[in-house]
Amino acid sequence: MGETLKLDLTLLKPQTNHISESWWEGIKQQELRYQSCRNCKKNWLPAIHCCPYCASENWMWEVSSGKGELYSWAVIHRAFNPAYMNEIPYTIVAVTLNEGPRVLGRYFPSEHIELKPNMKLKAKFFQKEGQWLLGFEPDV
Amino acid sequence: MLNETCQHIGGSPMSSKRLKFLGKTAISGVGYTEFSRNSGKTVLQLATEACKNAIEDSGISIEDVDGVLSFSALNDSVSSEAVATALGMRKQNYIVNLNTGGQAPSLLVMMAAAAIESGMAENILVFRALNGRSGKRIGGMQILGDGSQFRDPIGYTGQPAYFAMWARRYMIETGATWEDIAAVPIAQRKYAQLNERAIIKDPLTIEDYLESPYIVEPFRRPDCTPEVDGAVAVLVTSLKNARQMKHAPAVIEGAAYACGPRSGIDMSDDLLWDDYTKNYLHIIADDLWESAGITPKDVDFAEIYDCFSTTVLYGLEALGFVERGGAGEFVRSGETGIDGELPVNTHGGLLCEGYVHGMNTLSEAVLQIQRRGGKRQVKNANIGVVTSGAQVDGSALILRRD
Repeated sequence: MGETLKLDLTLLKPQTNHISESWWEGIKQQELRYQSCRNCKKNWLPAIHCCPYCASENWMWEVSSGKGELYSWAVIHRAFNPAYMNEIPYTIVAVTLNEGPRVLGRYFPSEHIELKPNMKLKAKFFQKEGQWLLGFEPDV
Repeated sequence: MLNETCQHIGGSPMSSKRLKFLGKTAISGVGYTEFSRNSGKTVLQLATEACKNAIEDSGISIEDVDGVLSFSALNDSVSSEAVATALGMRKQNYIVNLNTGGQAPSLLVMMAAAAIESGMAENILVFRALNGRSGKRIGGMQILGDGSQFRDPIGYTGQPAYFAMWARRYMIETGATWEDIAAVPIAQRKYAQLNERAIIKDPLTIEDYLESPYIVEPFRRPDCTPEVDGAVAVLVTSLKNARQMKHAPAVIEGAAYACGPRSGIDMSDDLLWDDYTKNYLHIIADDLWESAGITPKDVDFAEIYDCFSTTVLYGLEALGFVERGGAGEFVRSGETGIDGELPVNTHGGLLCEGYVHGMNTLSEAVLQIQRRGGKRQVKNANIGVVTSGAQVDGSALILRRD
């Protein structure tokens, strides 16, 4: 009975689309991009083809300072996907960028610094199996 | 003249919340299969067994049923058409298959009740069936969609992680402590001991809780619902019909559903959701109470959807049973126990009975209203609240004894 869990230890590759490709290109170049509406002036992520505040398609990619505040975090103790089994426990942070959008990343402090609500963080890009990904570290 | 007509449509704010089927429709019976970790049965077997039991529990026959409604998450169930086929049902007048999670049970009852009130169908089954443990397990399932690219590659997978992210923010803003969170499974285990169906019924002390492993911090194992194999069905009908059936009707007296703004581009995307400390219940609470013309003080018990422990704290606050930040203290002091001010999750909740995506939250409320709760029966259970869902969208019902 049941489905056999495929023990796939490789990274879950991002399933990109033609809108999000630019965001991923930014990550590869170590810049954090976000979408900005020319009509209602709101900024947002995740990548969507139109503004989730006014539905306008008149928007541009902008480059974030990569700085923001810690909104929340989750410490993963159980690897639901075997690809991450060797990394537990690890921490995922939800960060509110100074420009407004909220993003998700891995928490990678260069030394042990405990997370505190609303603490300042900055983007720290990292590679896993050749794939550039978004992480954060304390902005001290 | 046109303006006058337009103004008339929708009526006053008061009447607009009083959905037309309220007070005229009811749940007449419930049907369960055994809950287990390995059913040894197909999902279709489970679904038909639960549906048969709900029909029998209502004291009617298969020929009387003319609608089947169900939901599934990520293709883990069978269709309503498949169940109608297996049961050899006559012509069905209303069939629905929702592709969604625990938001659905109360919503499907609303849809069934609306269909009955409008005359589309007369007796409608609502079911949920799955081999949630031995088959497709939702806990570790990747939620595919346009948002998954921002979660999966960094190792942010699985429902416990997404709910833990909300729970942490809730702790930050309300000052809730781990003791407040632990109080929920501790309180619900007491009910589970009175419920033969519960998958987990060992007593739980604060020491046991602290010794249990973290799944995704702040959640430990007792904070997470166990996946199970099983099915639950209810039968929705007119109040007039229900009064002729086997058990006392659970009258559908209040109902509301909402999906909040910017709820996400797939099932687990919530990057655009403003506030992780407030779920859909904050949006529908006023409508829900207004729909039934009652206040939280009138309620005898509540069945609050609890895929994870913290969702009970959200629910108690959102529905106005306690002030914001006061839910932990309320649970810790025993007020949600069987002799407390507001008995909550009297079957032990999804945390103990197992995860049938909240269909078993709904059926427990029906059993309580029908005074069939056995050892866990709440005294004078005349009005109960049921919630379905825990994040960006969901539904809720108020059930009343006839």
